Amino acid sequence: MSSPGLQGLRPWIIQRISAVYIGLFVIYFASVLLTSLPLSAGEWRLWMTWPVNTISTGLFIIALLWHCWIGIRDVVLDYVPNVVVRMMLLTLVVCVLFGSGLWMMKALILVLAQ
Amino acid sequence: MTMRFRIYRYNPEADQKPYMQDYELQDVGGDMMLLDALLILKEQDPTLTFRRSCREGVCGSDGMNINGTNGLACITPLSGLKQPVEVRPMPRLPVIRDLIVDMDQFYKQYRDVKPFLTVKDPLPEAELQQTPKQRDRLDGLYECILCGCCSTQCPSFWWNPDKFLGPAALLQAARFLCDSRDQATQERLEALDDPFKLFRCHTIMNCVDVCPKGLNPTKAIGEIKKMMVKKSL
Repeated sequence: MSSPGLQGLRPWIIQRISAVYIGLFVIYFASVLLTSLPLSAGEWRLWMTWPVNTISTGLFIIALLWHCWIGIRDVVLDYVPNVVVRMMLLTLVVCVLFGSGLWMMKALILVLAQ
Repeated sequence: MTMRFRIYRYNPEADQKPYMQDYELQDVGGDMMLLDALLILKEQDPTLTFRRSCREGVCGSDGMNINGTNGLACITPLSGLKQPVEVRPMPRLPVIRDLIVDMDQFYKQYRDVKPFLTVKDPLPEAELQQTPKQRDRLDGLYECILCGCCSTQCPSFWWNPDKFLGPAALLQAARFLCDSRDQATQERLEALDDPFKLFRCHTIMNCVDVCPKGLNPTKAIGEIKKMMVKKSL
């Protein structure tokens, strides 16, 4: 048994697609900061309520978490040979990333709700 | 010219642990290869053990770690080596004695990729033909001599030698995937779609650096990934 449930090609493709999206979003976000920097919390909230920004930020969070998962998974697969320790570590990583995702989504939803 | 050597010695029947032994060789010629030096040293010390056969860089039996980099002793000129020349067995394979390693794991990985043509159609009476273009696709893939220099220089192979197939076996996988006569493409790609066998390659390219035949296993691995993506679309 190596690591049950883990795949090869699919994560490899997702890692590359998410990297492209993260790169594009970072360029977009940097251009916003450079050209029309919202200075107050109200301005930031307004910026975030524009549907294009809400959706692109939500997708960025998903892409970032997925990219993190695959990257950390690869490091664990490389350097942790014991299957039990490996599965425990991967479970811990999933929990931390899932918790981080919920926290980020909560922040996004709170901005939209106000 | 006199040259100094530090050679890994280990005889499991006599030694508690491996050690490095110093040697000195007088009258080293400018065109001598490392294997020539090892053969002279073996005349002085018959207990020194290593594999060799063709002395031409064709059989791949004298792969070893020379000053930290894998290579074939028979085609490594002494003139380009820093002294003392440190010679060790290829990394991460069990040592049988001195510079001789157990290649069982390496050959098992080679067998795992089914390195033979699989034809499902009835075989023709004459040979299976290829166009010159189809034949050209095999260049850079079929020339591997299975010396093991690439796989044993690969960190992914060091960490997962029993699960990651290693550059040499994957080069062979690519060789049969690219062969127009082979009809097991689907099965071959499915067998490689696993977190370890293929996808532990992180394009470090140590394999390309050390291949004594100048092959590019990293490119071949990239080709396999491309074929997998095309198949999945």
